[in-house]
Amino acid sequence: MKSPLFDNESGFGGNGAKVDNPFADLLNMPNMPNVPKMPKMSNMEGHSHTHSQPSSNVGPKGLPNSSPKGFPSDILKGFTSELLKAFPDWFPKDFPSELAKAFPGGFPGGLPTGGMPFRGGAMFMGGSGGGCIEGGPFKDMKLHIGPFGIMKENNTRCLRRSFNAVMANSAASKQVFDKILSSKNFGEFRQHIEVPSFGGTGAARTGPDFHSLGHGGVGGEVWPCPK
Amino acid sequence: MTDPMTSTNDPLFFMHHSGLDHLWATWQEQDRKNRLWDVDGKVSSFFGAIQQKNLTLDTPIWMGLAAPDRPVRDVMDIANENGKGFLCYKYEQ
Repeated sequence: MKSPLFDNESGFGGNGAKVDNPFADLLNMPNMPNVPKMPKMSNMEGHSHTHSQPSSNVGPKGLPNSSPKGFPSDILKGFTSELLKAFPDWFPKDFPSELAKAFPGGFPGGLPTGGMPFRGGAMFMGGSGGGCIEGGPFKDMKLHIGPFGIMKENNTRCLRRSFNAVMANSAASKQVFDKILSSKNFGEFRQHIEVPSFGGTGAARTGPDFHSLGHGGVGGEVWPCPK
Repeated sequence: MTDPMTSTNDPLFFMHHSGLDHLWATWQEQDRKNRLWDVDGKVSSFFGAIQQKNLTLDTPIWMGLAAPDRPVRDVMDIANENGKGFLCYKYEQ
């Protein structure tokens, strides 16, 4: 069976990254989620697909052959040479300047309280309202796969953000950093980062974990609860 | 950036996760001798599918379509001082 997403010759089918595929068995696994055909997926979206796999595949059926595989792929948080080789188009050349525009006050030392370059003003838990990216190198950037739980074929739409200052600010504070850095061992540290309601993440100490606060703080496309 | 299927498409994803990595590296450096190789917890996916297997330094990190698996121990030291890992970077203080 040939993967609709990836082959060794044409990479992810879009813009031609060629990497040795060590996961031929995984691509043929019977419990592959319902991934639609994606003939024009970009390398960036190839990574997105990889990112989504641990959450999609570790379901009631477990991983193929009960292998220990399944630890989040994003634990590898450094920019490794292998990943950059596989996905050379991740970063536009002017990415740093775009980032500076998006966060004039710096990040993660604290989000600016005004002048954020996005539409909308009210900062409720639902986010600012947000919308498509209106300027810079990522202007009107398009997504094709997802959203999670719906997975329509070639569901082209713009990348949306909907900043949620309450969530973002509850994560990006020195008090929160100090609390996390005071963890006595990795078990405690990990719970601050990854386990919801562990406590200690500032204003949201009964809410999401530190990792989730970053995602929710940027907001935008929302993950519907899977059944 | 709230959808696991598409969150990686937002360039902010990488800044967010670099921030988490920076926090981890900073925490390790506070007591490098005792913390550099400290891991704990269960093997898990994100979003709750916790398995009962304990995570160890030998647990493979599944890299999906992106790269071959690596054991956790290969990514514990971002400076790769013992030469057995493959990362090589540091954060400005």
